[in-house]
Amino acid sequence: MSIDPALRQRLHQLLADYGAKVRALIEGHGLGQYGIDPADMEQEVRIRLWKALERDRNAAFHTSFIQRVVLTTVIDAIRAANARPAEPLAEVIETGNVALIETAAGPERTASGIEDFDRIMACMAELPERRRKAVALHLQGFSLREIGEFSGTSEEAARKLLDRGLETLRERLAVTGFGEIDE
Amino acid sequence: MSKPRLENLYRRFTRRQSTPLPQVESLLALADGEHDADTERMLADVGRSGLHADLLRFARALSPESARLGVQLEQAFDAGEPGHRRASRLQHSAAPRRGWMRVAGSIAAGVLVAVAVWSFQQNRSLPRGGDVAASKEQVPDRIFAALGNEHERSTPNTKGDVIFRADFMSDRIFKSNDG
Repeated sequence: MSIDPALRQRLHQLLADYGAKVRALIEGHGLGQYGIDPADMEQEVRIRLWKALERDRNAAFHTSFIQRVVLTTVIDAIRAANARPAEPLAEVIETGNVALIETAAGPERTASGIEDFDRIMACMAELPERRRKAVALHLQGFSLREIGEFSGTSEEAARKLLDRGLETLRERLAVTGFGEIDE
Repeated sequence: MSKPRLENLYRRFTRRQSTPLPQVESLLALADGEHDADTERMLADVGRSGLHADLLRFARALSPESARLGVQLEQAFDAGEPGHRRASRLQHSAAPRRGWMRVAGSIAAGVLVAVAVWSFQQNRSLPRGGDVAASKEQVPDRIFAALGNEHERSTPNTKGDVIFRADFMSDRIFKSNDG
């Protein structure tokens, strides 16, 4: 594709700005913890969008197309990271030449966490499906408005599903000896 | 030791769950608020997997920035290549136009079928060639035959069905050309 030099510079600038925003969003949403490098993602997104512009510039004007390019880039990178051999001692903090195991994540605490988590999952599995979904989405950090939107219900209906679901979950956890839960 | 917050515990461990990576299309559809079988499955995965939940949040946050980039790219091309706008609009309008052409095509096809059926029925109602030869000379039925008596004058003995013939009455109603 022959592009006027001034236009080419402008397009590169736009893609660079967008790439920086994508990088900030990746960092802000904690996607780095899944083994991807936000700086690599920024570069890869810019390259893929430039190629898309060269291939079919009109397609690149559509929001969904741009989102698809970014999400595909990120998911491909996570897949590649998952395929790499697991790095040993993931919870090791390196300080200079000394490697220290994170004391806050001791084996007894981690074991306790897993046990608690298994208990929560077992109790949630007993909830009716719609309540279980509402509780799970709430625990994943979504707002009532988002839960309603994803579930195709009103915010008020989502609140009722969540309240009833959490109430049942508390009761079942108490029966298993989980004790008071803080949410 | 105090219990960790329930949601912290839940998110910490669901982030470690090994679930299949999401399909981009389903993730985008869910982020856009669509509802079908795929988005329902995706929603269940989002509840179970911290990665899916993080990607869904990311996809939603990405939407306004992506829309802005699309507009900026189009504006850049418009400013940089004046002929681009026309070509772009033609392509953008192709889908609606195809839809309109489909409708027009359907209407045209319907009209053709109606004409064909009507023609067929007309042909069936007319006598066949052999019948015509066997019968006497055909005279068209005359309804409100106030005008055009030339045919009658030339063949006076071959009258067909006559209804409201103006010339059988002295009043000569409807007969306008006999003055």
